[in-house]
Amino acid sequence: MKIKHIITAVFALMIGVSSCDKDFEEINTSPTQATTLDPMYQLAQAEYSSAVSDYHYQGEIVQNIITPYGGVLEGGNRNTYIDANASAFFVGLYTGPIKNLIDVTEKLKDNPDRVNLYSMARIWKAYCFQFLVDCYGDVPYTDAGKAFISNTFLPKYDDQKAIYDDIIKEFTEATDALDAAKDKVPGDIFYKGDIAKWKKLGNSLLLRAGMRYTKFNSSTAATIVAKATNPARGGLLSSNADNVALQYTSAFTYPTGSMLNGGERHNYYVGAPLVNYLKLTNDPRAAYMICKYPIPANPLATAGTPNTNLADQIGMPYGYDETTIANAPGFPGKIGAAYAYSQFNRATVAAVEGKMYLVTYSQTLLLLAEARERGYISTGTVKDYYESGIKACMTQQSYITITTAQQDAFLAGAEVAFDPASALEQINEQYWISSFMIWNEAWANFRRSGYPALSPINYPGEDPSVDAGTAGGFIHKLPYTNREKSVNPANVAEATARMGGDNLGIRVFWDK
Amino acid sequence: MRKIAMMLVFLLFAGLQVVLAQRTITGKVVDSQGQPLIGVTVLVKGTTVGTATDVEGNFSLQVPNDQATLQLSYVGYTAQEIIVGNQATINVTLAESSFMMNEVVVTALGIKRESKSLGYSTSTVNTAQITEARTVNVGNSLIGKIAGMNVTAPPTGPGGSSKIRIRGQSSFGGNNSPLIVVNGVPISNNADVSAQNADLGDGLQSINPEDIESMTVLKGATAAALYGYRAKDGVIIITTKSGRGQQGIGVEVNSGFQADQALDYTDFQYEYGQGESGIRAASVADAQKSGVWSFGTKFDGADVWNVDGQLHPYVPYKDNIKNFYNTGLIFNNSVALSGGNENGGFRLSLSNSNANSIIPETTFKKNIVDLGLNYNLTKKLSVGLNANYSIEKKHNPPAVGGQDFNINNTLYTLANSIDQAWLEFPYKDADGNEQPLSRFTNRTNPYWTINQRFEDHDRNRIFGNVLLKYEFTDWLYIQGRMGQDFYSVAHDYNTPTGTRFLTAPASGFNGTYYQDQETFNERNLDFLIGANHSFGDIDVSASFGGNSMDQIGQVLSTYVTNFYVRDLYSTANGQTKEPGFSYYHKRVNSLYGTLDLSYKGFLFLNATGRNDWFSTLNPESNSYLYPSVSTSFLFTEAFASAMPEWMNYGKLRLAYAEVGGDTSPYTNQLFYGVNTNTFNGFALGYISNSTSPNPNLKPLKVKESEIGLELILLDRRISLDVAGYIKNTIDEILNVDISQASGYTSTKVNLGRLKNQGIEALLTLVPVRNANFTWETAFNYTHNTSEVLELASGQARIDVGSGDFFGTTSHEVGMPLASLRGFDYRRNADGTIQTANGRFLQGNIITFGSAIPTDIAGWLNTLTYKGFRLFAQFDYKGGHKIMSNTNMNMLRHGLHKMSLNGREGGVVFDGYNTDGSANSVAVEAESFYADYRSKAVATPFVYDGSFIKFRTLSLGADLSKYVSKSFIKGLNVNAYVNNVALLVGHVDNLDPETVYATSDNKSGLESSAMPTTRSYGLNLNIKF
Repeated sequence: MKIKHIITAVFALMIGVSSCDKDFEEINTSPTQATTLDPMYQLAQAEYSSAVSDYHYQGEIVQNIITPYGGVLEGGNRNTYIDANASAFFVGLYTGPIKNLIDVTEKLKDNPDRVNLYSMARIWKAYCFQFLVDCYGDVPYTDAGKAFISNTFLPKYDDQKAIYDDIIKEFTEATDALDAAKDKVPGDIFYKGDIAKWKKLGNSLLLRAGMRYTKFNSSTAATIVAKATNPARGGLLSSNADNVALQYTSAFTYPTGSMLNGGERHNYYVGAPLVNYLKLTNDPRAAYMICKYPIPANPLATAGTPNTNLADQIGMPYGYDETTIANAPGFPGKIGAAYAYSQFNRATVAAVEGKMYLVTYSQTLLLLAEARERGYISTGTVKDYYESGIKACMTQQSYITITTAQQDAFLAGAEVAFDPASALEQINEQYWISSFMIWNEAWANFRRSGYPALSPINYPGEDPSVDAGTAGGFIHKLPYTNREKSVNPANVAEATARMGGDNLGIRVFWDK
Repeated sequence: MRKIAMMLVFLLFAGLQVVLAQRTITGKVVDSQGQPLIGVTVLVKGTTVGTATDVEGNFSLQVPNDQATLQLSYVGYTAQEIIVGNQATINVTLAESSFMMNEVVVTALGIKRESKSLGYSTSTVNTAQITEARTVNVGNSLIGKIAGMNVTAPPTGPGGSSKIRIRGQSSFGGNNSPLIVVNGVPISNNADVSAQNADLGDGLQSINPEDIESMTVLKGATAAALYGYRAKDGVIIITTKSGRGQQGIGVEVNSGFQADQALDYTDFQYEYGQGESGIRAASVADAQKSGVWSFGTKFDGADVWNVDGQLHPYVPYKDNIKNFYNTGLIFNNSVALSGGNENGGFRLSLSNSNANSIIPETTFKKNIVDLGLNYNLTKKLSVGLNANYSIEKKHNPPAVGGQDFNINNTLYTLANSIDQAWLEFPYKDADGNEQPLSRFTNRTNPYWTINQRFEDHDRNRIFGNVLLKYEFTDWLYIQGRMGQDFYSVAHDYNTPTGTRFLTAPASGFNGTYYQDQETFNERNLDFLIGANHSFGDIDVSASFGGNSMDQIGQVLSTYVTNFYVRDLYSTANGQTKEPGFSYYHKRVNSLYGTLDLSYKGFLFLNATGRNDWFSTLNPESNSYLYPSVSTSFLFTEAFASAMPEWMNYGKLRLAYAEVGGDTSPYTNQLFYGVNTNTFNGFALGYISNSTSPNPNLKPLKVKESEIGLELILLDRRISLDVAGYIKNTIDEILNVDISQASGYTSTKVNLGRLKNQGIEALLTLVPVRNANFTWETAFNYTHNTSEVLELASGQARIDVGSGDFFGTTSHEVGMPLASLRGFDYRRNADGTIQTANGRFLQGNIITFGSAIPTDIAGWLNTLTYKGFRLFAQFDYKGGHKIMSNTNMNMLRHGLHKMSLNGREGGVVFDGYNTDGSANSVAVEAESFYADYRSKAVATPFVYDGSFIKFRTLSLGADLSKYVSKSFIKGLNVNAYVNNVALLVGHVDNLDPETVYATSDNKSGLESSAMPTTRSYGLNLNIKF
């Protein structure tokens, strides 16, 4: 054997080892993962992921949707606090859209070449934070989303009024900064970068934020609404083509639709107040919203032909559980594993590949109707805004065919026909219908306007906080998440003290 | 190359050549009392040819010529050399010596050292015990056997992992399992869990217990210090058989059979049957809605509609566990061929294990080929080669924990008036979809799962190494080694079309299919130069070496959702496809050295140092030094004249070391990802990290001090090995939970500190020892306590894992590791439980105790009578808690006996309203117990986890003497029972060993694992 060769080989190995960190930086560079990305794609992701499913609390609080069951399904149906369901919006928005939008805005804030992308990100970031404040009150704002950027791991909670002030500034400044002559943003899901439409969206969101102040401070509301409606600033959403919505696909399914078509399909029903109102007004939209399936527990394909006849619909009343529901007045009995109450139409509003609306032309018109009624604006008539708002809703989905005659007949109906004496009530009841399945907005508008005049559900095991103080039997705020109480206790405690508590009965600032 | 080929050819014929040229001598070895000595090593000097004496002290050996010298050695006896001359029979009497003097132990890097010189604790595993009462994963046969070791066999089926922890849990991370070193080179021991909650096994399962020659456990940091950054959890050193010492050709056949039987510890209520809210099913639809609720009416035997669409008498079915689970059958067969001559040896073994789980359609098959070769090419140059090739096929490893497709979850909640057999016919409806059994769609019909769902995990693995060693002189050698551990895995699973919890797609069929191909490759290159020399009374030995470890892992996967063609599970048939590829690469280079000094054979000082350079760390600070120092003092030798006669051996040990832990690659950077599918043509881009990256990480460090005492007394009737240690972990890399409002869920910091301290003791007694009968009884005991000293600044705790339904495993400052935490009832100021409208409320999150046992003990008895060997093992674990998610489900589904309260007229809970009045409101029972789920109150479901088990009973017989006149050289049969009986346990309805997770992040969180099993086995070993 060539012993010398072996020894040489062994020493070569020694030498190899002793150049001890050669190529290490190259080895520790991932060849498959990106370290940079055009922020435009993050805007798209933020737009997509900001559409959080809000049936567990918001949809139940506004009495559109109900399950009699407890356990993991519990929440607004029983006026109790279930962390997993109440924390979904906090977790979903901060770790999804806000995380990415802050990365985008931090990168682009000093980049004049991408002012449009930057402004869109600002507007949508403000939308997300408004959603959070409306749910939780004080939330992290100035420190939010900055774990990597500034090692801010435990953000402080900002005062909700201060956050609203800044949101309003953001809607205003960013809308004004949009410039059709500047950068193109073709990756934008909402409008493919159409600057005029973004200006309309910015202003419509500003209008919406301004109207939140009607109860808290009417003059502030008037000032903001005036700014939002100033035509020189680009106008408001002006047709259903301007709606912000996500059209889901087979790869990206509608979360609420998937739930109502999937394993929970026989556990969810339409709330009695909604069914009763649709019947009261003889609303032609009802046929596309609710129905009764012959075999509710089956998948859509085998559930049978849905009965959409409005007169046959029965909503499930609130205040009962799966046992006591059998004692509810007018209990319609069961069909197999399911109850014989009306359900969401799984082929239209709750389709797996359905459309989820975030901000609509109809909502905007109804807000304008109220603004006109309150004298914040002086153009147009309340009646026109009101009626156009209803008509816009009746034509916003492609599968709806409600003829002009049907629309007019509806508008002439006893409950719907515009009555100046009950304008606010009528407008906000229709806002409730227009915000069907845009439930976070419906909940905020219900708290602000007091309409529709829903009755407290009075569930026997409800959380005592909904009956304490001024809560009046309704949920006014979602408590902070258990995880946040555990991980970020000092900041949560500070915010809780500032708000006078952290429970279902606490009101956010504009709800006082 | 030509020379290597020639060498291999030569090796093949070597054995045969030698047989022809040699002659046989026989003999008997006895002690001074004339008692036969069993297992005495008899070697032909200067060769590797040798044998060991049998149970009667006899040996038979072939010697090359009359000049050969036999070396006889035996622990506790003075070695002897005898020149063969022309003798045909050689009988030898060995004199007892100072004990333990010459026992050799395999230590770090494969360096063999005399036991007496070691200044730290090691344990050698009795390999007979692990081959006789077998477990499919060899790791699980270590339960209760080694002081300082906590071994758990998760009830996850035959292909599952083994959870091994030495001296506590050394870090806050989830994986604190020891390094596995086979023939001097580390192998991967990753325990994988599939996305469908199945235990995919670990690295140890690739080893056939028959192939193991020796197994040494290096428990402390000092023992393991030469493994530097990989040493924080101790090391298990396995040496496989290589034909060394073998002469001529030998064939060994081993055949084993084992039957596993599911154990049923349930103690359910059998007063009320299926139904909800006190009402039983009035129709098939009712029955198919309430199949997992036993809140019906009192049993009355009347015909009631049931889930299978039939009327059945309303009576209890108490044997669903027994009837559903099969008897698991496991067959092990192996054959080994070995041979050798004075220059070397080889051993080739083939083994086949074929296991059918207690769950139908679940199998685990493994085939292992193990080759060991060693050869002295010249007097100075030797070569060694070991290779282990395994093909491991897992079919349908069952989901444990979680709900969907978890067969156990459904069976353990199934209404008590349903016979599980009714779920089978039909398990699917006319459309081929899952037949409903409950409104809980997550309680999948077990027969649907068995017949429609599949998961396959096939691993092909080869690991081994080649060693070249050159001895310049008798005091200086150099060796170089290349080791490789490579495996590839083909893995796929489906979510079957028609599963109830799935959503129907707009067109086509629902369901998912996932497929991946994984490869892993770890290459180790190392060298070692060793020298020794004597300077008067002082012997010095020193070595210097280096290692380069390079690891690359990749996974190429595709996940598809919904299909065009029904029941065709392929990626091409998927409607939505998500391809993925992950890759990592890391390297650690190391240099190390040892220095051993001994003075007059009774005082030893050993020092080691190892420096590691990490590719994964910041280049500014990527180099770390790990030192160790230990000393051993044989006071029985130092003061030999002053020692009383009964004091055979006494040694004092003292050791200190610093070792490290590893870090993952690419933790230093922020990465962006883009969704694999576009959303209506729009690309969705995002930050991929959910953990905020930290570019300044350094590896954690473990500092461990150890003191030990070894005593052998009264002519080896009593021996004691006791050790005490304090193990401090500093600079823990913590995945610290941060506010989600920061955008991330966690960040990594170098802040944590924790302490483990304990004692471990092994006391071996030989109450009876005579010519025919020996009774050896050994007690091992481990006491380990841990304390979390520091977390990230100001942080009082971190949550590391959560239960499927409630509870977390957390680490809290000032508390032992692995606090089990969960919600208590909301309480009034005086501590009473608060009620509102008759219901309890969610209170504060409290700590119930630690999930890690503080005390572990084993009592091992071996009785030998002539050729028979009886082994019985009892073991104990205690001082820990278990949070039982399954018992919560049993309660809310109406099976737990606690659910009997309030069946008639509702539950009037023993609580007080805020105004101080006692609760008087009755709440309907099912609705009341459902609150435990929605309010996540953990208090009633926390149990004392301690238990005493009769672990193993085995009876073996050496029947060699009955066949000695034939061509058969040895015949052994062995029968055993594993998991004989649970003698003491405190968990309702379950075996206290039912916690399934191998990750320390889920310690103590019980949730729907498979039932534990009792195994009955038979093993036959024949040597030719």
